[in-house]
Amino acid sequence: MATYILRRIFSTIAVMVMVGVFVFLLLRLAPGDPAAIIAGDKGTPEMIAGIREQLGLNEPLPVQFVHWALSILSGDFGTSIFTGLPVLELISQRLEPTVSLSILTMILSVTTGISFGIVAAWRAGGLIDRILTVFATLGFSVPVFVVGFFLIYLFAIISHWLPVQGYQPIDHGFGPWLVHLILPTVALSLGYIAFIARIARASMLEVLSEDYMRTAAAKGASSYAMLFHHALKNAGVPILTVIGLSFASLVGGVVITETVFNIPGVGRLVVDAINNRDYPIIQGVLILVSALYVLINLAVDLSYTLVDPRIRY
Amino acid sequence: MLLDVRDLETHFYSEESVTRALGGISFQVKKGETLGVVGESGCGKSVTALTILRLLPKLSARTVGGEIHFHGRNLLELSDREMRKIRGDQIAMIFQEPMTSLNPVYTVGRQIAEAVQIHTKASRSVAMEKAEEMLRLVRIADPELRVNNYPHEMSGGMRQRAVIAMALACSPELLIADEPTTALDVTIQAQILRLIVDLKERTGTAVMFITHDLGVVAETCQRVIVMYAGRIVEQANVIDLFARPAHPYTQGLMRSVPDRRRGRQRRLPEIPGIVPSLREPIVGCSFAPRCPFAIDICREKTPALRDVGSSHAAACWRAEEVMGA
Amino acid sequence: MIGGGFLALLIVLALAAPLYAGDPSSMDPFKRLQPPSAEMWFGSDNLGRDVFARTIFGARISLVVGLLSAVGAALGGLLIGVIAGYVRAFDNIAMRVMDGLMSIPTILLAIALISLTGSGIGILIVAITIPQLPSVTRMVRSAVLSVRERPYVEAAVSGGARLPKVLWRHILPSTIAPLMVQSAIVCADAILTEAGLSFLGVGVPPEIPSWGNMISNSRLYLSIAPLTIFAPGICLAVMVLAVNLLGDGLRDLFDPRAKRRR
Repeated sequence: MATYILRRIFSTIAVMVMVGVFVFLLLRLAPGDPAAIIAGDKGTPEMIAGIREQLGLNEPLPVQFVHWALSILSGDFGTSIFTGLPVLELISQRLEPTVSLSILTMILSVTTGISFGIVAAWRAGGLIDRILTVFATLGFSVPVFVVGFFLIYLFAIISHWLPVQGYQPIDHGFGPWLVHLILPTVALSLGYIAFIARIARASMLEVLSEDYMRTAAAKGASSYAMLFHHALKNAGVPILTVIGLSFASLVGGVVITETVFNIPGVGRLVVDAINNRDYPIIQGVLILVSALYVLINLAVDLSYTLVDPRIRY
Repeated sequence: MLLDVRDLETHFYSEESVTRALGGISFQVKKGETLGVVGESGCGKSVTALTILRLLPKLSARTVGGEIHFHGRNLLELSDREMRKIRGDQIAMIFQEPMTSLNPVYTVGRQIAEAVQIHTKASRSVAMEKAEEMLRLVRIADPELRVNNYPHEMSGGMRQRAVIAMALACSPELLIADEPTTALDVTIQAQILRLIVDLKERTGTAVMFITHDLGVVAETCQRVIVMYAGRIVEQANVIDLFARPAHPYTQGLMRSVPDRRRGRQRRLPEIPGIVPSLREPIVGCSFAPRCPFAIDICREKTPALRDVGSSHAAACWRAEEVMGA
Repeated sequence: MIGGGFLALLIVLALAAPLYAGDPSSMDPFKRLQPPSAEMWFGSDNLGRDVFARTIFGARISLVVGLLSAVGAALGGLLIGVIAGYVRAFDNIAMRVMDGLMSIPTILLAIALISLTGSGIGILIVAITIPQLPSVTRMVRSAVLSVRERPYVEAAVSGGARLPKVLWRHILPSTIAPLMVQSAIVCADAILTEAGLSFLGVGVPPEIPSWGNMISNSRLYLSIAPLTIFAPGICLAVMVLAVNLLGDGLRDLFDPRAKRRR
């Protein structure tokens, strides 16, 4: 067990180094001299040389990488070229809406997706199964911003039930916060519900044909106990895996959803950063998001033992 | 009469065909008796068991005719809810594969306790105590430790003991054992057989013992039914059956059992030919193509089960000649 | 296979666009945000451009990006995957690089790549293809690893056959089927990514009509002229659906077992 965890942590570090190299090169390969960009239009050649010296840009690339990696590890993600503020501070200011949207989406899509998958597998080939299969294929295909505008049009513009756009911080009250997040969450969740439902259905279907399901039925277990007690825990490992892996595409979806609904989150920060060529911000977000992805999947891997006692590392 | 099955017919449906898995079978199980059900694989033994408990997949299998009276109630007319109350409480079942018939993600104790909790209002802790007691009853060493084992931490024989413990946890009146020893090592087989016989004596439960092994039947059963191609071809007391088999198929089965007393034989005689497909309707006696006694009438008309002695019946046109042969 | 037929129809419609769809770029300041009419079936956008014509021409961008990315990812993944499946030393490095790529969300990775060079269709296709490489590479690599253990491949190698020949003869044929299925998935994903990037304003240059651009451009006019958003939006969904159905169809074709299970 301990050796497995160590090995797994080691490979996690290896992946992070890979990401680090990639992101580092991204900044260094960016067109134009970073020192000149920082100095701005009024920079004199002397100023630029000074900044170069200060940033260590005259050192060989591997040395620069080590310096850069060390400062990242100590929490220094550099300063935004455009605003001059520390990157980490800019990101943390924008964190709340993004985290709110992501967590709500995860909750909605995991609960609904798994329920749909279970129901479809339970009556495989039946009417509900067919409807859900069509829905799942559609859910894969309709992009989040099309769903988003459709929902806005239906529930905000035509019926005025919900706000069109924007975000309310949670300390202004839970109600306004939730009301502003309903449409974005539903729009973003649709694809994940379809994805999770499809995996849950397939893995439930496999489990339902196992001998121990017949044993449970012979005991007199109810359909509910069969599905949720006996089958779901056995189908859990593949479902957990896809939930972990889908985190990466969730982030992409969050970026787009924030733009559709005008939510001032990390996604907007990145999109604005591209327009301003603000590389340190792009860099910082890339590193944090990949680190989070890698950590989530490490946690998923280690949680397999909780779901399935046969897995011993 | 505990169980009275009449003209039971079960069909399986696929996109291309209908399989007539049970072609109208009738038999009875008395209180406390052990009935052996014998036949080759695919003859309908397991389907009979699953039909009685109504555990066949709803989409692909249907019981199209007959009645199953248990304590005078027709199981086929019960609601799903009433049927669930009977399963595991009054009728329990043991399956063939001990390696796969326990849920791998729950402890053995919890799975036995579940059966208790479904059918009594026992609390979790009381049910767990009962589980431990049941493990002791099926002679698993250190039951107080083993209740907390997961199935993969047990050997095949021990798992089958746990399955038996689970089946008997609610003191059922009828235990259906579907090839409970087939997947086990020979030495373990004998232990499990002795355990079932022993527990039957102690609890007085009736047992329907499904097997392809005539040796097992001789050791455990009082009465036997022999099945072939979805029908009962012979029904008798165990002594009569072995002394005077009245169906050529039964005779064939007996000849292909290795006899330990005769030592090593050159070669076991086998029944020539193959089991007929149940997808097409069968004309005449289904055994006729493989039967050394077959005459014209066998290929034209299906023989019904008829008495050939006291409580001895066979479905063969030439049963008397077969018995004499 | 309905998906395949539908996709073929969409391709024909897109190719034949100049014959019937009208000019997607001509602006008319006096016909801004018009409702649908006989002249402009889907109405006009905020610059007075014909939404129907732009929607039809927009299909071309989606198809080009989708198909080229699928081909690019398939060829790239095939090359890296086959080498990784054969050369141990390369395998370790390549797979760690793929792990790294996988841990960066597709859209962010594409954004980062595009932010280096500025927008353009060529760089856009490269930026969309690179994040797709890990899934194809992993699939090809595992197929190669499983095939090379087979007796007939071992026999061919120990019989003195040269490596490229073995690859060509034995490994490629068994990799082709899953590769095609995976390519369909990549194609659908690439179309969605292009639309997403264009919607964010970092994809196709704004003067070229693409569905993502159109939706982005009309965002503010949702309540006045909803068709300016929904026409390209629905077309996008239909095209992705067609590609996904084609992928499902291909999988059923190559793996009949999967069909029965579903």
